[in-house]
Amino acid sequence: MNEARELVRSALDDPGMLDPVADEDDLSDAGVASAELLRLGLACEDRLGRAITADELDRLVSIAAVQVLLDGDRGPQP
Amino acid sequence: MDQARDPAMLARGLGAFVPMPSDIAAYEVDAMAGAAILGATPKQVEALADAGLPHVADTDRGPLFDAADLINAGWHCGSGRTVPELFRRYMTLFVQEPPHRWFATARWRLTVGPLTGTAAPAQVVEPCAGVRVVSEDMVGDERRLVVDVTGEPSALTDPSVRAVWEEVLDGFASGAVAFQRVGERFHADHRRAWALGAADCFVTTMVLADRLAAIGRRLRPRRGQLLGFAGSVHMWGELEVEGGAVAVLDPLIAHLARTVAPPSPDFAEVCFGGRHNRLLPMTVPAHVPTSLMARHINSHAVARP
Repeated sequence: MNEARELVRSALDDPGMLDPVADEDDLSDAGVASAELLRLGLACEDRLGRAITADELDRLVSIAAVQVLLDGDRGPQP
Repeated sequence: MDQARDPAMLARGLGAFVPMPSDIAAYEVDAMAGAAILGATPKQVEALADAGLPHVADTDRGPLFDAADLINAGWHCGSGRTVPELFRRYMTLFVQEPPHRWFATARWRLTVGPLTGTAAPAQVVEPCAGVRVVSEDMVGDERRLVVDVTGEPSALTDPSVRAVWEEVLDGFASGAVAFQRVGERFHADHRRAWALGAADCFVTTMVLADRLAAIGRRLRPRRGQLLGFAGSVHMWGELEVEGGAVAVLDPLIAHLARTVAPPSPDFAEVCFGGRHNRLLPMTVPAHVPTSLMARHINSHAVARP
């Protein structure tokens, strides 16, 4: 989950605000601004190397959800 | 040079939009604040002054710009990485989804902060066709709702309304009008904005209402939320049709559906009389500024078809 947390942190104006946020917490409720969420979308695309879909965007509500997106592109783990 | 650090990155957007007229512009955003809004660097924002974007020079703060102008510069600069560009791209992704996803019931979570006074209004969503409030709670000064929204394909076939509709959309297709951020003070004079070539959802809906009124049809402007990750305050119109029913006319999203890559002409047709499951009419009082709604309303999907 560290990978997703660092990715979310990279999209924030104040990365420290993520420290008390749990992996399953809603990012909007935690105070992540809409512009920061947009940058998170771009950060995910940069990491995945492809554009993300509307459905994937709709699911980006928490650090855990970001990790699911990143893991999904890697396929089954050995 | 890395585009993200190219001082001229934002300046490439100039000429592609209509700056706010100086009599209603508010030159109050400095380079530091502008950089935060756009996801750019202060140097890139400052370069807009030399490139000709209207501004005033402040001896302490440097060039001061109108917020809408800055957003439009970012929107049109072509980097693909500014916050306005991301907003526009993400906002329209859903029109490229399979049609069944536009109509089947979707469940959304909506958070509404203080819009009037110190807390969220008592009522923000009025149950109506296609909209069901599942739950509603106050948490601190925020109202948190879960709503189900169900879409419906268009059944509107009125040729006189269609002619007016196409006339308005041709304003975009012909290049006479560009979709851009339009400052709130510009909303008060939508005819002037349209004549100058600047239109957003508010301006486009009001121009459509004017032209429908000229043929004796009433279009009721509705303000609400385009739901989703890149949700936003949105305006569309409700046309009175036979039997007391209403048909939703959403000209701006129709224009975007026709011009996004790849285009979605089928979704553009939904905008002519149909409803999709991301459109939420709200009962926020008319005097509440759109900017306040944009700041205090968030939404995301709970369950999508």
